[in-house]
Amino acid sequence: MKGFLWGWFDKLTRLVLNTSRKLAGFLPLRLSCFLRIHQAPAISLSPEKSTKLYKTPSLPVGVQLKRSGVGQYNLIALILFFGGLITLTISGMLLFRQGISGLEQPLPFNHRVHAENGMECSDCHQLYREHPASGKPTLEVCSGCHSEPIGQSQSEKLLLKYILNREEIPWKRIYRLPPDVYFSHRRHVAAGKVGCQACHGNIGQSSSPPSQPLKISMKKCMKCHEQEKVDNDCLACHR
Amino acid sequence: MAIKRRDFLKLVAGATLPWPLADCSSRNISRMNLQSSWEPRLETWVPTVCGACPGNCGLLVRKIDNRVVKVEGNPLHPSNRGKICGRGQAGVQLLYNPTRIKAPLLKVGGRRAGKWREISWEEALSIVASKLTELRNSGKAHSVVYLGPEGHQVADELISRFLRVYGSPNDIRIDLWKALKQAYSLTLGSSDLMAFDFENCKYILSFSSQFLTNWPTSVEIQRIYGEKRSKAELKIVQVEPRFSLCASRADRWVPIRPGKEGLLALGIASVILKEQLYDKNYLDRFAARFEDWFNEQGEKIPGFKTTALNLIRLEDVSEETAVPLKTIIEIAREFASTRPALALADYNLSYHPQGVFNSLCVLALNALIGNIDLPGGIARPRPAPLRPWLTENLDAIAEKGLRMPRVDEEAKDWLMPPLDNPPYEIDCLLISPQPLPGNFPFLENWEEISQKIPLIISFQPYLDERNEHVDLILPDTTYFEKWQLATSPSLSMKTMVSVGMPVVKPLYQSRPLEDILISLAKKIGGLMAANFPWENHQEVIIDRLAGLFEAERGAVFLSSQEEFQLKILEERGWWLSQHKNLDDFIADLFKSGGWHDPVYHFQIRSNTYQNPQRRFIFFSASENLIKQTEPQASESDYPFQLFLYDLPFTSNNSGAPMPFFQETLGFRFNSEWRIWVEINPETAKELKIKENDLVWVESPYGKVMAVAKLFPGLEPWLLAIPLNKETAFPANKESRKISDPLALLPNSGSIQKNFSVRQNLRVRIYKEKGGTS
Amino acid sequence: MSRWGMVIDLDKCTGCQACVVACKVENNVPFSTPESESSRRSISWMVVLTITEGTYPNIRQRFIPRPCMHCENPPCVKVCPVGATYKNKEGIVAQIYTRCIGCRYCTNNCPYTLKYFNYSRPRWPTEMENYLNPDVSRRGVGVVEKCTFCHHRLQKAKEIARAEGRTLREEDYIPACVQTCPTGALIFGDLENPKSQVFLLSRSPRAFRLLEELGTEPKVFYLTEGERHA
Repeated sequence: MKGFLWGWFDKLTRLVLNTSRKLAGFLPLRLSCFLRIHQAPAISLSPEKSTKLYKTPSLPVGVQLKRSGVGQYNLIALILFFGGLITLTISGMLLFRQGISGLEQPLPFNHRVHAENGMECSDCHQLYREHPASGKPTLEVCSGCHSEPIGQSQSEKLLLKYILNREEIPWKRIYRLPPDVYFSHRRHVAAGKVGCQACHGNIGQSSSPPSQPLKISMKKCMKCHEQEKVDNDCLACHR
Repeated sequence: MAIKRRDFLKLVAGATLPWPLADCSSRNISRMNLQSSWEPRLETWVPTVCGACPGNCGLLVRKIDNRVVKVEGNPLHPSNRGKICGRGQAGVQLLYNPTRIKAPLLKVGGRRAGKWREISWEEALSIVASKLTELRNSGKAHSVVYLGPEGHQVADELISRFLRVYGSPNDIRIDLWKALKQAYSLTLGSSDLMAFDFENCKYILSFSSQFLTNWPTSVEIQRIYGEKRSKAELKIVQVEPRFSLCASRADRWVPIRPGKEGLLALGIASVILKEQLYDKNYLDRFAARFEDWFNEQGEKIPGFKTTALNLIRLEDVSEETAVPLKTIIEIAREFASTRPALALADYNLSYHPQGVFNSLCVLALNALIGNIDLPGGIARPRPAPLRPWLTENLDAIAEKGLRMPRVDEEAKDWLMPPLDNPPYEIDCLLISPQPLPGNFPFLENWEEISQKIPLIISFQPYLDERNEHVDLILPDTTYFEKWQLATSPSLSMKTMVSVGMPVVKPLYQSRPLEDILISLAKKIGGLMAANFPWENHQEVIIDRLAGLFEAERGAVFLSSQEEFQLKILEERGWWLSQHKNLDDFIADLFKSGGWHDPVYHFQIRSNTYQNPQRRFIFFSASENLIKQTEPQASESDYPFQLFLYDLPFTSNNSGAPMPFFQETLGFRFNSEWRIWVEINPETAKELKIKENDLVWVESPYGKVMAVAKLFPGLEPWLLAIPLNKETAFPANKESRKISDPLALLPNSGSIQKNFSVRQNLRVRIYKEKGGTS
Repeated sequence: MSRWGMVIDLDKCTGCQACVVACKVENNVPFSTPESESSRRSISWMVVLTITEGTYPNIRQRFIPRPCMHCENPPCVKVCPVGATYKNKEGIVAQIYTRCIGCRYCTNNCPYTLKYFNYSRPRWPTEMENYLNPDVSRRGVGVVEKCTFCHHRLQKAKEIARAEGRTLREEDYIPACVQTCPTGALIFGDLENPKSQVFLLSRSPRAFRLLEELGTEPKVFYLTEGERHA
């Protein structure tokens, strides 16, 4: 029953989302026709003057807007605004839905046990010094130590099964980046000498994997970048 | 309620805010974000050979994990030096193409209406092997025909070997350059293409040759063009009916009537002769039939000198070619006085019935100024010292089969084989993995032809209309998925071998053609298997490469400075081995991308002239040279002459599976996917046709709808339509229905005729009612 | 601080389209379709413009490769209401897709018409998604995009240089179009570095810029076709 309801809710939200997108895409197109701000006004002027003109653009936008019947646009804009609010709420809920969906790893990996046995992060995540990605440990890495059982734990038994079947462990990703962000471990670790804990906290001391995807917010990135006085340009991270 | 602009923007911004946000919702992240799929994103660069055209440029392929994401030119490759053309760049779309065939396909339920069924390789190979064995045992080995383009890859040599050992003489390669090759065999005694030394030449007189865009070596030529242009060291004169891309880059464009290039060359020759600007020394030593000569019956035949001087009048040439007298004389003086100067001919001359004659005239110009086997002239390419193939052991069946005439015996010297009227029945047709020139077999009579052939097997990797009448497809892989060994294209001066190892594993169930042939030979067994002792094509390639190690010259690809040093050393007779053993050498070979010997010794004349006389033989004409070509239709009904031309980088095939490449082809006419017809603005004004109007172009044989483009680059009575322009991706028959220029060609049942009339066709043009796009 | 710029030698450009295709493959630009062509919504960050002059038979054609001009004084930046497009310290005019609200003021205000709006979600056949470049984002519907001088290559080059403990060399960073150009008509480099080729060429008497009278001060310089045509 729950799934059925969710299905309908999903369909409905997608419908609302798509319509609002289309409307929103349509409106600025029409607006730009009215505003006519694409006509560069400086063609007849000499270069020096035109440069000045560009520095303080005075576009007669308001005037034209009034002239072209504003009321109608107010209505559309208001409808869009509230429509937008509704979709915002719904998309928020969608995000929330993902949040509670949980994250179950194929085996309850214990970072702490490994760290206590004197292992470094780079022993398993082998790529982060030379590559953008940190490197998901492959079965080969695991079987380097676990070819024979070392302990008694449940997770090792699961691991041995994977090793026996020569089947890569389908680890699930804990940290996810938004699609427009380019993150490189090499840049932070090899070039910037940032320690793993700076971003990943004490996940190395955790005894079981987190039940939810962890988030590194842009705020956190920016804070660190400001503190360390490194490039805060959008282009440095946004691809 | 009044709202200011700023408030309004805020509102709009508020309203649109959720929309990028919505893009980030969970569902989209997994779909959009390549980064979030937990691939390690390991970047590697793998050198290989480009197979997008027969040019075989060196590539560096950027791989992320197991995906090919980008190709760049291999900076060490002596021909393209890190550069690559648009066609090569679009190569990733050949690899990851939605129309790729995923497994061997068998047509079930009749050829026409039948459906494809995926079968295993085991089954597919058994079907083919048993059929081939059956044909061979019943004495019909010769009736197996292979149809493919010319190539310089191992696959091409393996095919030839396979057919010879099997006993079929029908190794048919469709080659656009045949008219020029024929001219070479008449003048120099060998039909191999000669190389043009662009690097050292100062003046190019090009007769309708698309050397910058449509040659296999075009990337190299473009590189040289770029280097020379900055130093103003190269002058280019382009003689051509239409203002092509090459003409637009030339210093001077000389418009000419289609098919009259040879006549103009003769006119130029006559000026050179009259003004005594020719190379007497060369002609005395290395030319024959320049002066009048006597044939076996003792008759006196006029030599080239008499032909050019006495048999034609310059005024007639000027009138017939529409090139002003002054221009002819100017070009002749410039051409003969700037050394070294090249007169270029290419496959475009064979788009006219007088192709061979035109090519002969252009070659004669080069001989006249003695620019053969000299730096900056025409030179014979030197083959790389690859280890020769194992000697073939032919059995009685093979020998008997090879003695049979080829199915294209009668048309051997022309462009297309007359498959529609073979001397004996074809029992099995093998179609090459590469698409053929002229988009064969998109031709209308392909259906008819195919009905007479009981079994048609294709190696095409893409499922499109080419496979329409095919019974069985054994999908080849693309060049990213196989071991490669390619010698330099025949137009190149470079003694060079490019190699590559598979960049990715074969996608789906496709298999390299080379491996298919080897396993077929093994399945047929007996002497066939004995002639193919290799396990796979990798072994073949490594075996052949050993010859380079033993040759004690050249080196694996080096940077240009290192190569220069090597050249100096080698020219003085030194050569130092860089590798201790063969394994090291092979490893380095694949790491750098190939092998190159930078030294080219000119003046080994015996190699250049391969005829018994060891000379350049001028043609002599006994007939009237200013010959009218037969009109295709009446001038009153069809007032315009049509000029069909190949778009840049499409001479061998259209590159249909690469939308990135196809959409750029019409950039000069602002057309991405539409077929256009070029009309002189004056003509258009007369016909009341405006830019972008939809028009019909009609020949006696068919009609085509196109978009009118006003273009002052052709004479008022000429219309031009591009060939090889696809109208959609994936290319399909439906989209091509009303816009296929090949429909304008006569469907006379003879495929060869289609080629030679491409620029000799009369048409009319009229507006589509209410048609403005 | 570097100031990246491009010099395009019109004498050498053969209009071969290698740059156009290279750009599309590098930057995850979808290929055009007959539908996108008829609605004029095809996207191509790099375009080779053709200028035809004269009448038969005295005709001349020029090919002008047109990437983003990366103006010193960019008109697109001035009208962006949300700061999605801006000029960064190294002179690259950036487009931040997540900030872009799709108002298209910048597309209208760009005198070179080189900004493109995604009227629909870019689509690739599933197989072709394999060649998408992970260094460049896939734009969604409703955002404006344009040439970025392949700035992701700059980020990577900087990163590698720093990881190797050296300074950035000029040849470390080349946009895809420049790398592939067969004739070497496109030249890229640091306009502030007196030793660089672009520094010298941008000061050549042959150098000019598109619509210079607008005062946008593009960082893409063109070299006129040489005297041989005069």
